[in-house]
Amino acid sequence: MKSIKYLALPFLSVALVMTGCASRKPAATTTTGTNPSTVNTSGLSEDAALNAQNLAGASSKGVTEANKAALAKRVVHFDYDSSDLSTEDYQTLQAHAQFLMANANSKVALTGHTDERGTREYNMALGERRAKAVQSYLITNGVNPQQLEAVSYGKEAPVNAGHDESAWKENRRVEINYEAVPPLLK
Amino acid sequence: MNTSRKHLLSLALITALSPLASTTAFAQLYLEIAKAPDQAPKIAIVPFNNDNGLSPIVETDLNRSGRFTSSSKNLPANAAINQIQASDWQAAGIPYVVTGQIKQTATGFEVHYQLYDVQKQQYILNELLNVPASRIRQAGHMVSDAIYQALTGIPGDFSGRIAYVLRNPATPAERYTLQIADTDGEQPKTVLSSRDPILSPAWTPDAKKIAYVSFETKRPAIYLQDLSTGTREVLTSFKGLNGAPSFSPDGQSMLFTASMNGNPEIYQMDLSTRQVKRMTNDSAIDTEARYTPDGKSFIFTSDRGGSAQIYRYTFADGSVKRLTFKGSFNARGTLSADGKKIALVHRPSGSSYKVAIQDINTGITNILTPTSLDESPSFSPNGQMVVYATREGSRGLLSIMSTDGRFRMNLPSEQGEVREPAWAPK
Repeated sequence: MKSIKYLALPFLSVALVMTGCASRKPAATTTTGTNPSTVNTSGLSEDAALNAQNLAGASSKGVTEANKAALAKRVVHFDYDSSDLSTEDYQTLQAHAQFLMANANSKVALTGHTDERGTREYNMALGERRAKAVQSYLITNGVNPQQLEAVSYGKEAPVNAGHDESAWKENRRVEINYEAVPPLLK
Repeated sequence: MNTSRKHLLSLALITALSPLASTTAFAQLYLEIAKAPDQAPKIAIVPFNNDNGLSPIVETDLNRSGRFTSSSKNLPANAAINQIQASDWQAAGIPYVVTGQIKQTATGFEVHYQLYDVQKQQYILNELLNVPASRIRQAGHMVSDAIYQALTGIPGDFSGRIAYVLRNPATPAERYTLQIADTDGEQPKTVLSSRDPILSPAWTPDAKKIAYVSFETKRPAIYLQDLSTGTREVLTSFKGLNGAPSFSPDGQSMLFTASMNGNPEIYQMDLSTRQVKRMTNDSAIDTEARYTPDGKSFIFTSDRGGSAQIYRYTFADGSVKRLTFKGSFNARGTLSADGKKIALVHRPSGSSYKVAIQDINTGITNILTPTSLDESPSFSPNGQMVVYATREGSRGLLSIMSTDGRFRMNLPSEQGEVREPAWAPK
C-alpha cells in the first residue's frame, strides 16, 4: 500500500497552476544525459504567497448548508472508456459552480485520470476528455472559463495501485483541485 | 570484463506457449508459426580461446532468436580456430559449430571467430572484429548478428538498443528515468531522470536523438534530446495534450497529438521550420500516430467509430481508411520496417489487452502474447522480434517475443516497473 503514496505524491501540487504566474514559480530541476544539464522549467506553484492571495478571495460566499456536503466532494468517477457524468456528479458540480461563481478569484485545476487498461497515449486523451466534460459542465453552469484548467494525467497517477475492478473504478476520475482549498471546505 | 557493470535488468528466458496456444483466439494461422522450437537447428558454441565472457553472450542471443538452439556446455568434442573435426559433430547431430579466439590489443580486443557448416565441411564465416575493451559485450552481439544473418539471410538485431522508462518508487526525486540498454538489458544508461512521468520515447531515424513526453512542468510537453551530448529542446508545449511523437523516415518531420484546438488531433511538425499542420479533424480522440516506413502515410488510433481502432491516413489524397475490425479496442499500432505487419494492443474480450500482429495485406490478425495488460509494442529493426511492456503479478516488465511466437524473454527490473520500450532503429 506504500506505493499508493508514491503514486499520488508528484501530483499533490498539481492543483496550483494557472498560466501567468510564471515569475513566482520555483524552478524544477531535471538531469539529462551522461553530462547532466540543468533545465529550468516553470514548475507548479507551491508558493505560500500565492496561496494566501487566492485565499483572500475565498470566503464563506457560495457555501450554503444545502451545498456544503456536495462541495466536500472533489472527485467524480466514470465508467470504462466513458466521459459521461452521472446525476450525482451534476449535484457535486453544481455546488462547485455556485462556489466558483461566488469566488471569482478561486481557480481550479481539473485533472483527468483513467484506469491502467489500454495504451498510455489513448488514456492521456481519454483523461482529457473527462476533464473537459467536467470543465464544460461547470462553464455551462456559469463558471468563468478563466477559473478552470483541464489537465490530463492519463493512467500515470492512479490513487489505487491495484490491478482489479475496484482499483480501476477508483482510478477513473476527475479531481477538482482548488488552487488553494478554501478553509470552509476543509 | 568490467565487473563493476550494473545489472539493472535481470534476464530470464522463457519458453513461450506452444504455437497452437498462441493462435487459439483466431482461427487463421499466422504464417510465421511453422516450426516447433525443438526442431530448430543446433549451434555449438565452443568457448573461445581467452573468452572474456563473450561466448555465453552469443549462446544466449542465438537461443532467444527462436530460430536456433545453442549450447556451449556438454559439447561432444573440442575445437578451435581452423581446427574442427567434422566427424566429431556429425555423429552428435550438430550442424553448426562456432569457434573463436580473443587477443588483447593496445586499445582493446581483436575477436576472431568462425562459423563452420558440419554437413558441407566448410567455414561459412571467418571474421575479425576489433573493439575497445569497454565494448566486449557489443562484440558478442555483433558475432550473434553475423551468425544469424549467415544462417537465415536476415540481419540480426542482437547488437541493437532499447529505450524504456523505469519507474522506481524508492527514489522520489528521480522516480522516473528514461534509460537505454542493450537488447539483453545489459549496460543500461540513464538519459533523463525526473520526479514526474516520462512516456512515449521515440527515436529519430538515425538513432542519434530521442523524443519523449515529460510532465516535469506538471503539464505534458514533447522534448527532443541529443543522446551524445545530453542537450535537449522543447518541441511542443501547446495548451492541452502534447503526446505520441513519431518521426518521419527521412527525419524531416514529426507527427504528434495535441488538443490545442479543442480535442485530441494528429498534427505534423516540419522540424526545420517548426511549422505545425493539423492532419485530422473530428470530434473523436485521434492519437498514437506512426509513420509507415515509406513515409507516404501514417497509422493512428481513433475512437471515431465508437471504440478505439487503428486507421490509416494517406498523405497524397488525405484519405482515411479503417484497418482494424476485430475486438473492442485496437490501439497504438506500429509497423515493421518492411511495412508488412502492424503490431498493436488488442482487446479480444474482458479485461485482457494483448499484443497482436496484423498482416497489412490480408488483414489477418493473430494474438502474439500469452500475457494481458500489454502495452507499447515495438518491432526490432528486422521485424523478427517485438518488445512490449506487460505485467506479471505486481511486476511491470518488458517482454521480447519472437514474432513467430516461439520464444519470449522477460526483462524485469528489481528497481521498479519497466515500461514504454522503443527499439532503436538501425
